[in-house]
Amino acid sequence: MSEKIRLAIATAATCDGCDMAIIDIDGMLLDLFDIADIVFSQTYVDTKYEDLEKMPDGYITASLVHGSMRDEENVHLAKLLRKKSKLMVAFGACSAFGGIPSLANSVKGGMGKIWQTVYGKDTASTVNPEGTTPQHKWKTPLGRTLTLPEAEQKIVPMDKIIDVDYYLPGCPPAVSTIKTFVGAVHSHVTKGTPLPPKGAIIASEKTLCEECPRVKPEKYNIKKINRPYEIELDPEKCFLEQGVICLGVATRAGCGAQCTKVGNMPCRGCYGPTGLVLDQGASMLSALGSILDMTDHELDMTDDELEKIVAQVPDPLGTFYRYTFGNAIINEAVEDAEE
Amino acid sequence: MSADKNKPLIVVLSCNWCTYAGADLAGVSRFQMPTNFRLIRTMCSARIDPELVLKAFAKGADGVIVAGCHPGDCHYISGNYRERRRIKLLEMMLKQIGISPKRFALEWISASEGQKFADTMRNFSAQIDRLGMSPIRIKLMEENERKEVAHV
Ligand code: SF4
Ligand code: SF4
Ligand code: SF4
Ligand code: FES
Repeated sequence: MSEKIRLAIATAATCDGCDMAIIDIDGMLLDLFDIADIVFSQTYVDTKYEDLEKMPDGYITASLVHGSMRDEENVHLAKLLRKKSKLMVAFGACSAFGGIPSLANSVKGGMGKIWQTVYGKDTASTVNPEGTTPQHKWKTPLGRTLTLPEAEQKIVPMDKIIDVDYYLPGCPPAVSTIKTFVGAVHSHVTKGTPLPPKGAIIASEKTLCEECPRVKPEKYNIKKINRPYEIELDPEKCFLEQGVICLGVATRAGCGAQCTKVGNMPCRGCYGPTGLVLDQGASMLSALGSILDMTDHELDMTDDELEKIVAQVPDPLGTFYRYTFGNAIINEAVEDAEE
Repeated sequence: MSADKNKPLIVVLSCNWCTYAGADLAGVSRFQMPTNFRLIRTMCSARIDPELVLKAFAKGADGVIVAGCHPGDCHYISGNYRERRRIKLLEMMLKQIGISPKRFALEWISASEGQKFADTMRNFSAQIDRLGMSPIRIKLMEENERKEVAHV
């Protein structure tokens, strides 16, 4: 085989679950190292930003970035890698959709309010009598100036910042998804097979329900919403039929229905919206709304009763956009005028 | 989206069979109505996906009305029963986002209720006037201004 490809596996605001998932591909890691050298990574090899800066433009064959674009350092890294790489891969829900960290966008008052909650008097568990908060710039007693990256006001998917070639959804991407991707790159390098088209989401075009083996009823009508811990979960029946909110109807397939099949847990939606919709939250809201406690007295249903039915969903925004608020049609909280 | 920069913009998403006919009647009857709304017709209120409402707000609408047939009158029997659940859920979500619930309404207006259509539009429009521009529209206008300044 000719020259090895050059790979970067970079971390933005990550929980490192994505790194664990990469290590989880076991033996296939050897296939990966057969064809690829890791030329930049904060986790796997000892490289610094300086090394990256010195590389010629387009030097890296593919850069995988996991974690969200939380602060200016994350954004800087994404831009720098874009310059240095032929292919950019949004790896994991954080990078592809904003991920769980992007739920921070739903805090009214934005970063100011979040800081106040974390460092201020809002929370009983915070003891900070002097009101110390992290500073962007700080002068040490010896006169050196230290800097910390500033937080972005809102978290957006990486493709809102730079051009992205491929997406691996999931929190983290399923081992099978990573293997599919590594396999495609491997055979491209060794056998010359074409790569997936630009913009491809390395998952399925189907909806998760189609991948899920649970028995689905002919007609749904949820009489009561149950949290998973509140009932004995039937391992065979569709979760929605059991009144447990499952995002499978609004989620892209490709993980192999890990949670519903293996975990006996409902899908939380980490593979993001299906190919047919823009907004996973709206799509789930729409699906759930259509099957929520249809009664035999719809004609004279009062507003109060309707209110009670929907109030069973405790946190629609957080539930329906758990991984994709950064990618939503409206992706941040606003403050409206009081009349 | 609009000609007058400062007039509130209202999007009405209506079903074809009742509300659209009601709006038509209001027009033919020459009832007094504000002119700052755009009506988008769908086959049934159930076709009005929450995504459409979010899009309207994201593009700068100051108010959105979803309207359809009265309970019992939906041409597809239960479309409006489903829709009112979605709309209630959506209302909860819009509240979480911070958009005032007063910017958003669900109305049942039949084909014979031209007067009700006109009244609804008048009242809603006055309510939006009192609220002023939506915070999203303000943001969009600020962004545009910044872009224009950057171009000069
Ligand atoms: S996608 Fe999930 S596993 Fe990966 S960094 Fe984000 S939170 Fe962690
Ligand atoms: S809703 Fe959930 S449990 Fe039901 S079929 Fe879809 S993925 Fe499976
Ligand atoms: S079942 Fe849903 S939450 Fe679980 S891994 Fe698959 S997409 Fe993610
Ligand atoms: S046709 Fe009017 S609400 Fe269904």
